[in-house]
Amino acid sequence: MYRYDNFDATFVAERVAQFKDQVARRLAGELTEDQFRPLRLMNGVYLQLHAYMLRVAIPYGTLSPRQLRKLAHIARHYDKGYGHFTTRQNIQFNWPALADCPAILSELANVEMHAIQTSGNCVRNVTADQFAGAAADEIEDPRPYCELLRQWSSLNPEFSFLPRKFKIAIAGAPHDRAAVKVHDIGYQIVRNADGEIGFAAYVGGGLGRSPFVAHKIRDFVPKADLLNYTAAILRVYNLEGRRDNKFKARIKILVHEKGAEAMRDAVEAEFARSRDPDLVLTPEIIDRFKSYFALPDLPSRPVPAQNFEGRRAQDADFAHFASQNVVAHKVPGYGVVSISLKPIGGIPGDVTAEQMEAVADLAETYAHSEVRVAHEQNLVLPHVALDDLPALYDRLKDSNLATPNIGLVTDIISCPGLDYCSLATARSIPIAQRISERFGHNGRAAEIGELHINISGCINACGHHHVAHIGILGLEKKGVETYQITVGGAADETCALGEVLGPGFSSESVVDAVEAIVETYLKVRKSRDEDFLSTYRRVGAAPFKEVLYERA
Amino acid sequence: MQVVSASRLTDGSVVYLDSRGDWIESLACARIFDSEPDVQAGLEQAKAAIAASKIIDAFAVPVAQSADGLHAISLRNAIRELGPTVAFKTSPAAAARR
Ligand code: HEM
Ligand code: SF4
Repeated sequence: MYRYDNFDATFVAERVAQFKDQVARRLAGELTEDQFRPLRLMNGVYLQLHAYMLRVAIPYGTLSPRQLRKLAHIARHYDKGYGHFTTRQNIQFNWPALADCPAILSELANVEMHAIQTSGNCVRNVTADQFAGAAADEIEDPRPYCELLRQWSSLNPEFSFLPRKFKIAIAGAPHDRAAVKVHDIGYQIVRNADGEIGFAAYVGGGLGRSPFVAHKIRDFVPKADLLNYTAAILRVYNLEGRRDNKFKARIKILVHEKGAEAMRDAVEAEFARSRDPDLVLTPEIIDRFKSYFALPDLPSRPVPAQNFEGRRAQDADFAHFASQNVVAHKVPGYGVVSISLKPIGGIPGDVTAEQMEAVADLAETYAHSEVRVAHEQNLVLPHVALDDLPALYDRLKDSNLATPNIGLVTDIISCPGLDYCSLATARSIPIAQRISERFGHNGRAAEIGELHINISGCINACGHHHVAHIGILGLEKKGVETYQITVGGAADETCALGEVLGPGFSSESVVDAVEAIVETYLKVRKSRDEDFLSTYRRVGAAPFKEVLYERA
Repeated sequence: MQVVSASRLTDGSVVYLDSRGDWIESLACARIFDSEPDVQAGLEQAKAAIAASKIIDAFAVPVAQSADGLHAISLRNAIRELGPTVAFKTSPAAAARR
């Protein structure tokens, strides 16, 4: 894992000291709110409906047990005992006092964490595939490149006042688990015809009020050019992106208005013009960054794993967990284990201090001290020996963390919505909870198979509803919550935006509507092997519209 | 009928203006403004409290009397008043501390 060097440590410590002083001056009345707001936002402190909210970055979703324990400590001592993992691989604390925020940031700095650039019109937390460095299908671990981008973009004066916020994601495998095509820049690690590894570059993706799937503007960016090429994109955007209208300021609007071809030409011209030799990534630099993310020393384990196979044969619940929450690891005899933060009827992404500590302990015992955060609001233990899986599973069960539902209809992504968020137009969590209850019993979710439901509480789309197989957007009509349903979205390499089925549903009827869609799918699918998305792609939206709107 | 609400600077808590000019946590005990000029006067008081760095983001909240007392009318303001409608899990230690 990347460890702060002296420069990083000093820099973060200085930033905490600055913020401490700024908060003190604010509390003493020496700074007005208008002066202070941008300062607090730069340090991740928002004001929500009930309290301040602190957003802490988890760079590329990688956490150590020590960091997770610190998050637990912060939840317990400065908040109400829980945190909320978000779709941006951040954690949000919902109840910190302003006066405590400098102390919290100082505690975070002790474990090499911070809230810098979790807000503002700068390059935000660079996200990655949560299985980075572990998944069997991976071409290369994206995290060294995320870290390079993070170091280069952090407080980079040229890119600190972009027209709008800027989000970058990198996926390391052909199967895109990082939703790169709905980011401002998405890099997909690829191998070219000569067998070299580099990046396919996508720009102009995004969700929010005007969703767009990104355009590929380069098939292959060599590793050496990653920073220069990113700089070229940012420069074109910085100059040409709209600053006259906040809602048109994201790069997706520029790419849309200018056209992907013209964007490609502008980026290539800028890249040719300004390619900076100092930013060229030499093999030495790349190797150094790779060494921070080296695969732990995984002792070889027998294949097939006796313990694992034995338990699987005897215990149907365990077998179900193993098939739903565990994927293949690069190293035979190991698995990548997802820990669902979606208990049936629970709040997606919420985790208590005790659960964080339990996961930290389990990571130390069974997973070479690594934990990951998935953008689906789940946690991951990336390196688990299959023979340890029975013991791990039992201990996860003790902490209510063994819900076997990854990728199923109950593994719902949900933003905080109107229960917390000051921008919300409707609640999202209670809808997620009711859907989860509806499908979460008697093996129903498993029978339905892979089906992603995402819910946002307003058009900002923090809950990724556009790219859900079934997306739900909470709106307000005449003072009443109403929920618009889309179908057919996808966040992976087949990225697509969902199609709106028709008029919205009330809070009372939306879960029935979702159930009607699911029942229709079960009727029209060719077999259990045809998942919801494939079925939609074959039959279109018509059967779903019919069941929702033409029943009467 | 309206009350004036804001967020307390120190911890962001939801507060309401009462008839003594204090900012309190209970909507039920807030000062009720019946006319538009009264509401404006309440918001002026809020401006002073903002200038004094006691509160931030003040605004008027329409309220109504119901069987169980005075409550905000809109869902958003009701959630501000009563807290999240979902039962988040809090750890025992944190709950004891609060
Ligand atoms: C204080 C709470 C939050 C505020 C004020 C907030 C604000 C916003 C806004 C204004 C946008 C639209 C940006 C645009 O289109 O230009 C947005 C997008 C987004 N937010 Fe949030 N958000 C909050 C919480 C969250 C949470 C909890 C998550 C994760 C669950 C999240 C993840 C995202 C994502 C993924 C997008 C869409 C991607 C994009 O186009 O940028 N946000 N947010
Ligand atoms: S989608 Fe809207 S309601 Fe949900 S967190 Fe984002 S801004 Fe808030």
